[in-house]
Amino acid sequence: MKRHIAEQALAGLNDASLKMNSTASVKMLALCLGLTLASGVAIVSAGCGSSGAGHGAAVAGRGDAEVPDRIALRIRTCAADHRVYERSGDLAATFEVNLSADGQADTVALRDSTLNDESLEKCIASALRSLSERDLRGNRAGDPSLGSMSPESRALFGQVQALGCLASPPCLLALTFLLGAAYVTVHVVVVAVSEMSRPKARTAPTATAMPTTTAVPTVAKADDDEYERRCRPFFDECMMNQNMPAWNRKDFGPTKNCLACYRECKFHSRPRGVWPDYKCPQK
Amino acid sequence: MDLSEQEQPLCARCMERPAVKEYVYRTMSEMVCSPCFYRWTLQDMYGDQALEIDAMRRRRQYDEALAHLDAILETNRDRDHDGYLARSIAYDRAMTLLIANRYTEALEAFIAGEKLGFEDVSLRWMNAHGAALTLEALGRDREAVTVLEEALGHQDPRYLPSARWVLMELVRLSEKAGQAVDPRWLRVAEAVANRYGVDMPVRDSPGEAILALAAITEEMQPKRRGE
Repeated sequence: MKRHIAEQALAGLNDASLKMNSTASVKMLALCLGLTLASGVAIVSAGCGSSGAGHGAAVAGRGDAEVPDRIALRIRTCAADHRVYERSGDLAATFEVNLSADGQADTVALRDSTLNDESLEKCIASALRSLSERDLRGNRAGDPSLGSMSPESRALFGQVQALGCLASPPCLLALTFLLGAAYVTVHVVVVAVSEMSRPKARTAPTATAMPTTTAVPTVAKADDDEYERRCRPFFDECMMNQNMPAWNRKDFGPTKNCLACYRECKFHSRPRGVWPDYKCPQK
Repeated sequence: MDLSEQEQPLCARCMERPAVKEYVYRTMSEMVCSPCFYRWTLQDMYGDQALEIDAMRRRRQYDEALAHLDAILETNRDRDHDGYLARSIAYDRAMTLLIANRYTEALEAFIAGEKLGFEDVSLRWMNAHGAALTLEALGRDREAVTVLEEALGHQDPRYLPSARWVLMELVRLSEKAGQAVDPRWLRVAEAVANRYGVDMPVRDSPGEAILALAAITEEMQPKRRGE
């Protein structure tokens, strides 16, 4: 079962890789961390492909599981310190974490790894040692539909929750959680993308033909992948440096509204796909 | 104010209040004040979740996307002190309905979003543009023009570069509706031209002049204000 779950997670990574590699010169890094917790509750992964922030604000919907901020940060720090964003190809590691009777991580064992970096593996393992059952279960306290259920009776109901960046922007990573029955397994799937190709000019992408000023935009095309591909790297970059440059603070305040700039770039700018650099500048 | 307060570093986000908490987002860490900590925790959470909404829309899971938006708002309503989340979700809800070709609902959603107000004029224009596209899809082109004109009537010189695409859409929709572009918008276009550091083109009609300006400035960056 564990093997099957790990394969699912890796399959998700491969799907993501294929998708991302449709853009030239994309480097993909993936870390899969499967944590088996021998305490009676299960969290298993569904693979990559979704996102969320590992921060305090709750995100409801398909579950409330959340990577504890302090652990997510430590893992990200490990990866950044070891400059994993500079590597190419898919990387994966599977850890098993046994929880003791008091709910604390007892042992952390590396089961599988293609990281080829013992120091990095130790760093991640060290981060996982501070994981506790309380961390994982506490996030579900607000879900009344689960409150009265025994761990064993809980059906699988996954939710991808935490997203953050492993390395220097632009990059993308996802921490994916699913809850399962009868045992506890956590797969944290981390995907980082670096060196994403992007338009050379922030305001004049020319990779493909754009609608002309007189073309009638089709509403059905409003969410076209092409414009998302153009605008997304700017958004990621913006989110990683939200402080407004000093020269622009008088007009737009101390921080950028990156999401608004992303929406404008993707849906409203004409031609579409033009980043509003004047209010979300890089420098 | 005592000396210790004077020496305390300022919040990295608002640059006004003393920094009292470490805020961590992705690989970034900075010291912020308490109000900024909570506001940015919420805002960055939603920034990431908005990408999840995008992904759902790409998969045509529109009902799931709408349910997810509702759930995010419901779960975080008590943290949304200044209404940022409600306004953002109102916009994303309306756009999701538009993309799902559920035009009547989308129009209602854009109107609902307008009632929540806007942080700045460019967000007003984006909402109006979404409403105009919705009206266009419903075959109500003249109303689409009216909606854009009403929004463009709200001006802020800081956001003139965004007025460029609003004007372009106004020309396109006006032509489609079979009506001439009102000459009063030439003043806005002239201000846009000034921001880009170019002369306003002279053409036979306001619409042609605006499109000529758009063509001239397409590859250009606007000047910084005050330059």
